[in-house]
Formats: sequence, C-alpha cells, structure tokens
Amino acid sequence: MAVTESELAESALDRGVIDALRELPSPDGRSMIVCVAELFMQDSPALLQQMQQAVQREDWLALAAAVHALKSYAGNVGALRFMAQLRELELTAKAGDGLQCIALLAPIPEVCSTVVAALAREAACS
Amino acid sequence: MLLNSLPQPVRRLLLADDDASTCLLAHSALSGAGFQVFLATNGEEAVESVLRDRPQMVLLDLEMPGVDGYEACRRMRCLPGGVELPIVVVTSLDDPGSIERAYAAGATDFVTKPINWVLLVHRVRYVLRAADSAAALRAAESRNQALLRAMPDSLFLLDGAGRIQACAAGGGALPGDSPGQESLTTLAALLPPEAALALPTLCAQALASRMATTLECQRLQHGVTQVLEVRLLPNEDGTLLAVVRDVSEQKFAEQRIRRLAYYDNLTDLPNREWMEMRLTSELLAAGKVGRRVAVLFIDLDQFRRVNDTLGQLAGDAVLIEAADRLRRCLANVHPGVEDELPLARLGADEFLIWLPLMDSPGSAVEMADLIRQTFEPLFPCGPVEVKATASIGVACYPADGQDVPKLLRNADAASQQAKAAGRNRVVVYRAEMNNRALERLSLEADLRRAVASNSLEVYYQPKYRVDDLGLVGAEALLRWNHPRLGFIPPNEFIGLAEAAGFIVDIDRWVVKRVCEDISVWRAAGKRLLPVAVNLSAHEFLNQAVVSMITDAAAQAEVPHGLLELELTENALVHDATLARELLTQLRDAGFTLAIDDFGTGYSSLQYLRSFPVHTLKIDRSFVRGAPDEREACALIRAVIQFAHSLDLSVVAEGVENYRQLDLLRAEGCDYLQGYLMDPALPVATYAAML
Repeated sequence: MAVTESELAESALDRGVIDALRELPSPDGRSMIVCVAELFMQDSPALLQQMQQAVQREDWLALAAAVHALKSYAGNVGALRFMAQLRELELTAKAGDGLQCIALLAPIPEVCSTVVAALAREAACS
Repeated sequence: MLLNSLPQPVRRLLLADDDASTCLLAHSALSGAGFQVFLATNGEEAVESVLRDRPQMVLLDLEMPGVDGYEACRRMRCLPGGVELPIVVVTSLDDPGSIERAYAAGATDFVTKPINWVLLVHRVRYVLRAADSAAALRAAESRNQALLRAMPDSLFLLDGAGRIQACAAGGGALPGDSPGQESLTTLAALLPPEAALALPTLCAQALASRMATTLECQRLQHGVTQVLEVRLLPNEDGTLLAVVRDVSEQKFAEQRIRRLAYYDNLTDLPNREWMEMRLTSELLAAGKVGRRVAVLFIDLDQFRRVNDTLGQLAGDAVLIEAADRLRRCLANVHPGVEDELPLARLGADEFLIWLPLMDSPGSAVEMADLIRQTFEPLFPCGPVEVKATASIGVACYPADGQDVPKLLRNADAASQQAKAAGRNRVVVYRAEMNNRALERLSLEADLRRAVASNSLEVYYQPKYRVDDLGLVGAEALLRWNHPRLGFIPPNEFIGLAEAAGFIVDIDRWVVKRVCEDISVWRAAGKRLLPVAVNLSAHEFLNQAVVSMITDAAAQAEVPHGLLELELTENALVHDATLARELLTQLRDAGFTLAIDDFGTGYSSLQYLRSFPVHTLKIDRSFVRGAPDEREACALIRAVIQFAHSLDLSVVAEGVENYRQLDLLRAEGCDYLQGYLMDPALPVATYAAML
C-alpha cells in the first residue's frame, strides 16, 4: 500500500482533463494549464486559511463556502480525488457536523500541496 | 481575429460563476469557439448583464455569493424576452436536488462540474440551435394562430369516425355560432341532420381514397338560410382535418349570376339557354329509360298588336301575367320548387313547357288545353283589358324530334298551324307541318318581294243598289298571282303578312293603288263611284293612319268622298277610345266609314252606337245561310233594323242567288255585292263598266 510521492502526484490529476486543458486556447499565448495552475497556486492558500478560520469559529456554512470554491478549482484542474474529498467535507459542513468536519479537514492541506506540485510539473511540461 | 472570420453573426453568451478558474476556462473555451462571452461573478451582476448585454444564452452557476443561481434564474425569466432565454445551470453531479430546484426556478438545461470544455462548446451550440428552432416555431405558430384567428372557417381534427379530437379554429363552433360547448364530441352533432347522416360515410371515403371530400349543407341560422361547406382532408395518420366554411355569400352570388345568365328579367322565368340545358338532360334521361317527353310551344295570339297599339309597357304587363298564369297552371299539376318548373320563356311572346309522358300523348294535349283555357280570360292591362289567347303546338320526344332544336322546331310548326287554324287552339305536330312551315317561310319571302315589286293586284267587286241593281261603287280586293302557285286566296296571304308584320305596307300599297286607279278613270272621263278599301286592325290602330290616307288621296287628287274605309269590329273594340278618335278624324276629313264582317266579332252594340260610321256590311256567312236557315234570316233582319235605327246603310256581302236577293229586298237591305252580280274583276274590266 506504500505509495511514492511521485506516484501520488502523478495520480492526483486526471490525464483526460489535463489533455483537454492543453487543447484550450489562451489569450496571451501561454498554455491554459499554466494559467489555471497559477490561479490554483495563487488562490488555494487563502481558501485553506479561510477553512481553518471557519472551523475555529465553528462557522460551518463559511467552511462549506470555502470548500465549495476550492472544490471548483480542483475540478477544473482535474484533481478529481481531491475534489471528491472536498465534496465530502462540503456536505458534512452543510450538515453542521463539526467533529467530522475537523477530521475531514485534517488531510486537506497536504493533499492540496500534492496537487500544487503535480500542477507545477504539468505547467513546466507545457 | 478568429471571431471576425466567422461568417455567422457572433452569438452572445453570459457566464455567471464566482469561481475565477471556471470563468477563465469557460471564457477560453467559448470565445475560442467564436462566442462573445460576458462574465458575471454573482447573481445580481448576471441579471444586470442579461438586461444590458442581451445574451442569447446564459450559463449560470447555482452556488454564488449573494443572489444565488436559483434566484437569478427566476429574475431573468421575469425580464422582457426572459421566458424564451435559454438558461443552462452549472452544478455538481453530487447534488441531484439542486437540478430539480433549478428546473423549478426556470432552468432550460444543466451541465455538471467538472466541466468538460470541449463538450461544453457542443452543448452550447446545441442549446442555441434548439432555442433558434423554438423561436422559429413560435413565430410560425403565432403566424398560424393569427391566420386561424383571421379565418372565418372552423377547423376540427377528427378521427376516422368523425369524433372531434381537437378544434384548431372557430372555438369548436360552426361559422356564425358563438364559440362552442366544451362537451362536444362529434362534428355530426353540429351539422344539420342530413349532413350529419352523411358524415361518417364521407369520412370513410376520404380516408380510403386519400382525397379531399366536400359536403355542402344548408341550415337555418337566426331565420336566414346559411350554406355550409364541410371539407374533409385525410391525414396520413388516419385522422381528418374538417374545414367548415360559411359559403352562403358565395352561393348567393353564384345564384345571382346564374339568375342573370339564365333568367329573363321581365317574367323571372328561365330563358332559352337554361331551357336548352334542362331539356337536353331531360331528353337524355328519358331516352335511357325509353320514356317520352312532350314539349308545348306556347305562342300568344296577336301579342304584337298589344305592343303596337298600347305600348311596350302594356305588352310587358301581358307577358308578366302570361308567365304567372303558366306558373300557376304548372304548379297545380307539378308541385315542387318553383325554380324547377319545366317552363321557360323563349322569346318575345313564346313560352315552352315540357312534360314527361307517363301514358299517352293525349295527356300532353289535355295539359296544353288546360293552359290554353287559362289564357282565355282577358289580361288586365292598366285601365283596359286585352285579349291574348294562346296558340299551342305539341311535339313529342322521340317521335317528333330526337334533340332539342328539332323538337322545338316541330312544336313551333304546330303552334303556327294552331295560329293559322284560327288561333286559341292546341295543335299536335304532324310530319307534314314542317313542309307547310317551310312553304310558309318561302311564301312570306315571295310576298315581300311581290309588295316591293308592285306585282300584287287590286281587283274590284262591283256593289249594287238592292232596289234597282244600279251600280254604286266597288270594293277593292287584293289579289296575288303567285308566279309558281297561281292565285293565292287573300285570307291565306293576309294572315301571313299580319303574322310577319308587314300588313301595314300592304294596306298602304292598296290605298295608294286605288287612289291611282281612280285618278286614271277620272283622266279617262269615267264615271267616278266610291271604292271601299279594307284597312287591317294593325294599320287602323295607328295614329298615322289618317295622314297615310289623306296623303295618298292628295297625291292622286282623289276627293275623300270617293274612298270608303272598311274596318272589322275587332279593330275597333280593341281600343275603343282610340278607335272613336281616329274614326272621327277620318269622318271629319270626308271619308266614308264602314264596319266589315258585321256579326262575326265582338259586336258590342254599345260601342257601335258610339262609333261615327256610315255603313254596316253583313258578313257573307249569314247571307250564305239565307233564306233557308231561320237563324240567318233573323240575324239579317236584326242587323238591318239595328243599322237603320242608327241611320246606317247596310251592305250584304256574298250574295249568290235570287232567293237571297229577294230576302234582302224584303228586309230593306240597301246594297249588295256577290257572285250573283259579279265576282271581283280586274281593274280594266271594272273600268269598262264605269
């Protein structure tokens, strides 16, 4: 069951989505992968921070909103497994199950940095 | 650059999503595919953009801060044109409830996240195309609706049994009815009974033949007859479209046109064209079953005289009355619609009736005689009454003619025969009549030629005093020596000239000729005795008669006292007022006036008393019976006594033997003429006696 970091990163992104992104035209000539990766890297830290703060305030609806936003990003970059985790967290937050939220939120930052690393690699390949 | 190269107008899309990466990617994918993309990051912005940018489609994220996608969708639907705007919501697959709520809020369609950008472009194109089709359909539909609303017709969709499945126009009612009952199930329930009965068969026919079928029916609508046309148009799926139209106007217009074309304005009877169509089909039908058809050619007697003497208005009144009498007569034996009466007006005073013959031709003759009798009572004509009896010729199909023209010709020949035989009678056609009719025609032409070429002759029958048999004058009599047929009796050719309308010319010619003869005798130093000239009723009842005679006399320098004018009673009583006036003018001008053939016509003593005449002539038919027949003797006596009591002299015509002469002498008759003394003599022979 041991999984290498590289394998983790490799499987963090859906190949089909990534390929589709490569097909998309971009206004400034750069690859759309690069643009979306930049956007993800730029916005995800703030969203993660918003999640932590919401948990501290026990504001589950705010938590759900932040998770929902990051889930969109994840979907758009093909981080489908990450997206599934976020979906579960979002539903739990909407249900107001605090304990479960805390448990589900715990691995999110680490998975997020795996996705960022994988994105960086994809961006570099473009 | 890519956008400009597209031939199609750029389609405008609005993408509303608070997620920057979605916006970035969607913008990239959609503008890359040639769309103009507007972005909004929340619901309020999205609604504003719809108002401002008028996008043709909206991609709407459901979860946005502030006004969310559901609310935005609801608001967009309320904007002008918002109902038709395609709104595709973007949602996660894991939230099926959201899709349901989105539809409830008015969403057109949905896409799920994560979005497949390539597929999204296709999806957008598809949704736009569907929206275009829907818009085109809506436009067509509204055009159709406008058309249906404007149409006066009612449209029903029927199943094969005539049950109503839908009402497309007319509100489920027939044209002219107020919009219908909801519970209506069959078209038959709306139609008049006979049409309702025929409907199922017609539906079946239309479906079987795949051809449109039409049914026409009439019904009373608010007291007015309405003509409905039901057209049944079969559909491929076994249903029928029924178009019910009010064609009353059209029908009535057709009827008016038909009336103008096939009816006589004056009598409102069908005309010759209509008769030819009807009778042709009647003969055809009769021929198939071996039935006979009789045609009755009805010709009014002496109708010309009515027109000539009383004017055309009077003539018209007689014709209208004649048509009414025929109609009444036929309606009694031929009950039914008046338009269907087998009756037509052929020309001036000619009418035609045709009858199927069930038994013998005798029934046609009976019918003809019935008609003849209805013409016997006098016709009211303004202040006076006129006589217009009918001469009727009968011919039968197929014996007397296989087609309409031949049948008509022969019936006409028979009616001419009826006229020649004395009018007011019925004559059945016989084959030899046609020869006679042809003869008549050629004779008429010969007579015209004879008048024109002066080849008629005037003979003179001397007239004597009864007392001493001294010559007192003569009666001028017309003779026609036909180059081929020899002498033709006056009663034959005078009748011919009267019927053909040139008796007036003949009268004129005779008067002129007599005046010229007198002038010759005077120049030869002969004794000058008066000459009697016959004037026809036609000539006499004409204002110009006075000037015609005085002109002729003046031209030949003949004193008026030498001309005696003979008129029949009938000429006088026809219009007594005019007759009295003309007689007075002639008497005042110095002419002697005599009434000819006395005792054979109306013999209204009342009238006679008031006419300024000088002489009565006893008709030869009375003289012929004397002295052996008591009646004849009594009549002769009565006429002589009556005449003398009015200071009139009496002339007996047709005296053939001495016994008659003795009688006349005994009764005090003044003058006589006849074979006893002389026949009518050629002018030279008579001149020698002077």
